[in-house]
Amino acid sequence: MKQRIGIIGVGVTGFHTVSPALSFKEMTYSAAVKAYLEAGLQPGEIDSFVTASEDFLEGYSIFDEYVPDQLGAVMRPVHTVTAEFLQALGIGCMMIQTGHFRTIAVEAHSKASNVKTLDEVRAFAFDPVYMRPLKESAEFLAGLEMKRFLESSGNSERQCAAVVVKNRKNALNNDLAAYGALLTIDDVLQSPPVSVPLKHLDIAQRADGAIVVVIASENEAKALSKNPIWIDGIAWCSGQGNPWCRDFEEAEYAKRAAEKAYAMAKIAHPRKELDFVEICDEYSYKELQHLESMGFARKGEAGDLTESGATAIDGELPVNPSGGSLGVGHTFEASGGMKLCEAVFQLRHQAGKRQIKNAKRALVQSWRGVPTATGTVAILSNE
Amino acid sequence: MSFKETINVNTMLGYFEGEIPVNYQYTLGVGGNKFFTALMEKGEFIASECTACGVKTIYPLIYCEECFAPIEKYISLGVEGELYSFTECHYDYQGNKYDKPHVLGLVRFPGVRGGIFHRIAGNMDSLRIGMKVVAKLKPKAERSGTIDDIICFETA
Ligand SMILES: [Zn+2]
Repeated sequence: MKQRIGIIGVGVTGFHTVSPALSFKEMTYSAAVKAYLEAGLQPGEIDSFVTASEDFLEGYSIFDEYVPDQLGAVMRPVHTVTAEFLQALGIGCMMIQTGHFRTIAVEAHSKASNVKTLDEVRAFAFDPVYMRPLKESAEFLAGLEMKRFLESSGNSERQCAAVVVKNRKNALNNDLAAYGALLTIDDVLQSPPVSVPLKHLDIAQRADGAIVVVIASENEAKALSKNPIWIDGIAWCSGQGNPWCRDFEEAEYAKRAAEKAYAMAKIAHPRKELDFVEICDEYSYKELQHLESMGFARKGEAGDLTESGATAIDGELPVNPSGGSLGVGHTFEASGGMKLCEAVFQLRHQAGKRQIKNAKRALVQSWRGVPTATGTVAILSNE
Repeated sequence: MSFKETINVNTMLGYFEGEIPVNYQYTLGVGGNKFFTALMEKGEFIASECTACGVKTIYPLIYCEECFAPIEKYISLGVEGELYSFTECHYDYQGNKYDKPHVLGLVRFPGVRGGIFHRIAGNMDSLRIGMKVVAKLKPKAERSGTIDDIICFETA
């Protein structure tokens, strides 16, 4: 990267199954107040604002009109991307790299509990001509991918269940998480089928919450913050958009985004050079697929890695110490934001009971979910 | 939290019921029209073939996604393909549980990019990845030019 970008403030609400006391704007405001307090900035001192959201999940068309006030961004330069939080963060980084902006606030939230017909909204993302007339659940595509991924890689349903057990347990040590639990492999294997081999407990359940992050140019970050966390590389990729053209074996979006982010951060051996990773586990099998696609395990070995304990919080490469989306809750376009906050807390050594000793460098990855093939990878460090 | 006041009584929680009625006519386009015309009239699937780079694609395109050249060549794939993956789905698009789960699969055609997502006759135990499957179509008089002109795919 031309210059490193510093994260100088994060604000995150807790994640909750429902949030009836606050509107999405009030929730976002409370995250913004925390982020700005950490950054030591008033919103009027922040050069621009980028938010990530998707209209149908919000229940508004032209939702970007509804984002400024809760960020203190009325009459200020603000724009919304129909994307996931980490993509908005990447855009913020590019804006700083232009030299025209010193500080940017990036926001995403989930108010999924507002959506009474969430299944239908998700199925509405299918191609209207070739897929939607089948009137099937969005989960059918995940089930079909899981079947092909497991069969082609040699990973097993039991190993996917081990991901669920690990992440929901990690979430017990995360006060922000909504779905911490002590489960057994059999609990997962015996949970009701949703789209075979995908079962109920293989799927991250929805949660509400908001995230605001303030980033700054390298010089500005050093001036404003005692403990900035650095973004050493960030990249995203959209793979094959038409689901009928995908191979459903490798997550190509993750592979390509990771390759680019590794190059930016000068990482040659990701498994050796990174102390932990926060990656997309919206479905259990996705954690294994993403680990393999980003070079942390060879094809078919991510399941073994999980069963060996190597990806546990005290393992050689902790994966999703926060509890991931399985443990914290699935927050849709805010998913990468939740994971980024965890990485920042870990790298600041503020992660309490789940602190990974001497954590210096981490990877954060997101995927936009079914039926997309879009994902982002960011590399963070604390020195 | 930075509010001076917040709601801490259940009976004060307010909400407003809303809905968005949305209706569309989705244009099929040139490629889509060719696909559904062939399905209705000839009872076969067609793919596009790029004469510049050789990539064949279903559903048919009028431009090549690989090399961006315009496409004018279309080829018949018949109605037999291979099961690329499959799943047994227990819920419909509204989250309602099926009495009897649906088996769905992705059917591919050798040498062709893309494929068709559809219902598969059979169950998880009787099906295997790579199996030959054949489309069962509605009778010609009942076809309307939608993906539902295919009833399902059956093992060959
Ligand atoms: Zn071509």
